[in-house]
Amino acid sequence: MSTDIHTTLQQILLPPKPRPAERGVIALVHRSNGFLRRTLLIQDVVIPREGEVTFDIHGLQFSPAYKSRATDAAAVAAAGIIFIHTHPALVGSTANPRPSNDDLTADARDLYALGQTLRSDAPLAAGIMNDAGRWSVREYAFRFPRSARETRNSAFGIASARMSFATAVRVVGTRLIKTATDVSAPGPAGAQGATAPVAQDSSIRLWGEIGQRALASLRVGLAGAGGVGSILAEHLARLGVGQLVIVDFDRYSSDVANRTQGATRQDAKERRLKVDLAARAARRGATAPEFRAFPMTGSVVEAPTMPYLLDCDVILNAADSPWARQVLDHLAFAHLIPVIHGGTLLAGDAKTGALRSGKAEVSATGPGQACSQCANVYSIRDVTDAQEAPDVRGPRGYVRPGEPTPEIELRAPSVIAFNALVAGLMELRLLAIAIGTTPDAIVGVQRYYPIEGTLGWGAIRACKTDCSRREITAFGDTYPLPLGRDLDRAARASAAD
Amino acid sequence: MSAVSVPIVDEGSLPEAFRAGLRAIRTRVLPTVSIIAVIDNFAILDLGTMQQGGSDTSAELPPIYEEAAVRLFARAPLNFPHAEPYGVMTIPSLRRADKRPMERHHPSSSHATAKSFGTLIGEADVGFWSFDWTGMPRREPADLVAIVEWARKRIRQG
Repeated sequence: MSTDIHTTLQQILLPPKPRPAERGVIALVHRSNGFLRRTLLIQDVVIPREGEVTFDIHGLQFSPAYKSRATDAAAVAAAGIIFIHTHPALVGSTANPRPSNDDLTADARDLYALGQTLRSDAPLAAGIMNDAGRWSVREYAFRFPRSARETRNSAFGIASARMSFATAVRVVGTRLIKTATDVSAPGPAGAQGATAPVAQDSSIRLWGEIGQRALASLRVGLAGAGGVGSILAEHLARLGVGQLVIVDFDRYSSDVANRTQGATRQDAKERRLKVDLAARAARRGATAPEFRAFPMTGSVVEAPTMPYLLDCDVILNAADSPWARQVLDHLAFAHLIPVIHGGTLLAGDAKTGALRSGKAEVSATGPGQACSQCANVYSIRDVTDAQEAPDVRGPRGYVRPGEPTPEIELRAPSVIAFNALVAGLMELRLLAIAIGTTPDAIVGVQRYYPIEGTLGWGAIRACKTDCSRREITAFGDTYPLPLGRDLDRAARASAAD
Repeated sequence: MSAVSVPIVDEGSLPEAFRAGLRAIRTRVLPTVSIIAVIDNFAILDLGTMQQGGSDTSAELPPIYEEAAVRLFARAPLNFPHAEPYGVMTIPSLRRADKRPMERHHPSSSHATAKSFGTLIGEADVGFWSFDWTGMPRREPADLVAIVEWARKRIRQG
């Protein structure tokens, strides 16, 4: 859930004392299904009116009017429903709540009843937050009868209820807070990963065992395994993240040898996939005891890659394409996965050796941040251009009569020193988001101008008033991402054939 | 002007937002609009015929060209409104009667975009205007309705 939703839930569920022994609320949820991970995103809270939620000798009750309002709202939003209520917590206890038998019975009964009025794939769930803010969450699956015959079959109906319990709760805003539930799971499936006190000693001294465990609980997506991405792959593994999902479609060649960390001459001879080289470097350098790297050959803007990105807790984007930035920007809001972009833009004078212009830029997007479009990290014009075939892309479309055709630079100038700077700034932003290392350096666009040698922040810290990102936040799989066919990937594949 | 053969495009396979834009065009501006082809990430919309002295004044072809009639097409990204229309095409390629060059116009098949479209539909003489969406709306899918007048205006201005 977003920080805003979490705050709303806390206001309703943990009001100032004196308060009823148990409080409750209904919220709308959407699915966000990855390849390995299933997530339910709380998109909105149906604020209860006076008298719609009561607690008495019979327990916590949602009134029929409240449940009716909730199902109406869910139907409009093509969403599912989650019941959330509170349990008391002992003072000083760090234990997670657990559902009672009454909870299990009542939630199954009520969710089954409401589920019959919603679309068949609508998620149905129940959660408990205790007074200490700890969680237990379970999703229900029912087989709803579609005929009179099925109604009489015990394999259908409320008796068909199957539960699956959540292993972590993520709250996403300027920070990413992952908390454990009553069902523990190791590594990124849960909220705390294993640490290596010797190999990670210097960083544990900085952010403690808790911070290091938080890093180990992250499955980090890495979009692009080129100049910046190859550095990030090794650095992130050495920092101690739990898992890396590395996405790129390109193969390594000797013309990028001066800026691809970890690659060898033999790799160029064999034209190995960049994702495999990055995964190799990551595995060799990893400090988290149960580290895993998943190399994925594909494009960020194409549908087959999406499930792997939706497995991630946070994504670092080192791909140059404005279209990739746009897709990940939308994904960050729709699926509540923070994204950190990084890139460089350099131009030099080959005669004097001096830089003519230059910029290295790092930004974050997702709830709590300005979207990348409002922050001018990409423009729709550039995105449109990136969707064209490579042979008509860029200034060629704007040729004026009598003017020569502009030269198209197939590969932008790049220097490993700038890539390392960008990678470092992206890592620092990740630490700020995941651990809270630098709370005042967490929102916005950070730019390094090499000619002046200055590092500063852009002025834009929030979206424009007419920005649509708020409207897509936490809509998960129901929101259509602006995907398509990556013609660069297609051209590379065609050249390889 | 030669007839244009229309390949079958399954509109149901296109993104919902794009189909909403198409519905808006049909409802508000041009009921006969169709998709003649989908090439990579763009749909080619068939905006019908512009001709001199026709009954539809909004589709009037000004007498600045050698041609008396032309079939008009526009390229719309399947991701609209998250990407912008780019490029207006005509069959045949237009020529000004006064022989003046036309800004951003790529006659015949000297442009890769026009060439691929021409190859697809079996037409050698396709004109391409590298015309962008500057100043046009793209807040919501229905804003795609503006593409009809956007393309016609380009032709009227020569």
